Amino acid sequence: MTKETESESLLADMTMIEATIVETPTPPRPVVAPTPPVEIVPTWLELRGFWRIFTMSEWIMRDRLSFFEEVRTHRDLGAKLRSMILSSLCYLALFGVVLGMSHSWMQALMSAVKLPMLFLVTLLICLPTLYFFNLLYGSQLTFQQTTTLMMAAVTITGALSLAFASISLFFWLTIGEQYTILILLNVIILGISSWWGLSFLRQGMRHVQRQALDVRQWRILTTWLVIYAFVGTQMAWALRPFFGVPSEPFVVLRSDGGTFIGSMLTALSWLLQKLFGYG
Amino acid sequence: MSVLKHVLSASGIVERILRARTAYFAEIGQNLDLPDKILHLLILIALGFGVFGGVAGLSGRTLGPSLLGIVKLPALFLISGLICLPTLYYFSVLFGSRLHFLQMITLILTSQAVTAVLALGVTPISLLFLLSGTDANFLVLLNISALGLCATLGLIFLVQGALYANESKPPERMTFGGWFNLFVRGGIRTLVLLSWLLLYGLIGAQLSYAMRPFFGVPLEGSDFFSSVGSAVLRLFGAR
Repeated sequence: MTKETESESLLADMTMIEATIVETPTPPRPVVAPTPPVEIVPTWLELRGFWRIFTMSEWIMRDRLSFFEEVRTHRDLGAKLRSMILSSLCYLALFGVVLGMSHSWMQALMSAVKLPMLFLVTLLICLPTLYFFNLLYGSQLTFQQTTTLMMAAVTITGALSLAFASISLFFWLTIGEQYTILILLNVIILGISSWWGLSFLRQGMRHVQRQALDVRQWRILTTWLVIYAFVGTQMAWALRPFFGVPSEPFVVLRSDGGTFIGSMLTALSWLLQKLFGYG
Repeated sequence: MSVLKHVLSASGIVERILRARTAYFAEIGQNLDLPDKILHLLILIALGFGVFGGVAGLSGRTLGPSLLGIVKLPALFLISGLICLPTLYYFSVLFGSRLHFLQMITLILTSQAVTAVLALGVTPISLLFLLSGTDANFLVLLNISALGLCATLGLIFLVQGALYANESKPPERMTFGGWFNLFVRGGIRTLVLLSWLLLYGLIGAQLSYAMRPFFGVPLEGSDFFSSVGSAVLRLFGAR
């Protein structure tokens, strides 16, 4: 490039900048209105620093539409995924500590490792099924979008179960001896949290695809949810104990047959017997 | 004296909550002076439940439970509120509430402060029964039902406040129909609030059993409900 053209282009730049400066007069100062209620997380992308990770769940819950919109437009999916994985790991680990605390500290630590593992491994197992079957029936979702939506479901599950942690702790402190009640309570807590997490996934799917799901896709999603629940409970059964039987020593894994449903039914019938005093 | 000033403005806040609740809820919705409000509500809770707890603790005609009751009854309410707070907050947010943490705390404390003030109002009646020599079992039931009634009335404030403060442009005057509209419009948020009330009641009952004795009267039963049930049965001479 010759010197002349360089200076010319510089000149052109200068005039453009000047033009833009002239063209944008300072806007009139708006009349100070009473401050509207402050939102905690205006946009997650504006936040910086370590705590950004933990405002994710709050942002997803408060402003789900803009979250879905950003997922739809592929905006910063990597960063979202990272912070969701980190925050859900923390939430679930903390709830795991609460679960295992009724037995011993060893059990609490073990559960803190196992509970995040349970959710993330279940997600990994079920992710390809959902993705490929959706693809088969004409979905436009990319793999990363599907993963983001599913991680959002897991993050919400973690945050909600952590919200129940104080209640679970309280029941452990006041009726600590009755192991079965604790198990039922915590299974119910995890069930409720997962239910709302997954309903979030369903909303996300609908929004990101920009259309109501047709009957076939709807069926696939429902079937998939059933499979997910099945795999999840089976995984939970394989990774047990999460609570630890109070009278028995600490073990990493227990392997004495049985199924999740069977043990839940036993616990329920025990509770019914206790409540109504029959049998 | 700044302490005295705070106590005086605490009694001012009662007037405001009871007389002009919509204005008060609107202030919560706009985040006005929340830390001050919380401090005043805490003073009210300590005062109201302290006095009621002290009088209720005299049911067994011993001084020990009464002195402890001054501390234990406020603690009972505050702790059960604290235990249930995260659930209420997260589930409200999940179902589209705009309220945030400090506002939620203020609303829960408001309902407890209303309960405390009403309990303070009931205390003379309880005292009258105590001084006129009613038997301990009746006194226990009287105090429990009075506190239950006050708590129910207080919780109405929580439900109304949570729905009202969440509105972006709430009407200034509310009629019964207006509240009903708000209640219906809340949809699933109202349902969440109501089921949370159940949970809160359950936790409160369980915690009160764990922190017993409150009355200095031995009750039979293995939890709150069976103790109250057996007290009722004894009242009617069935035991």
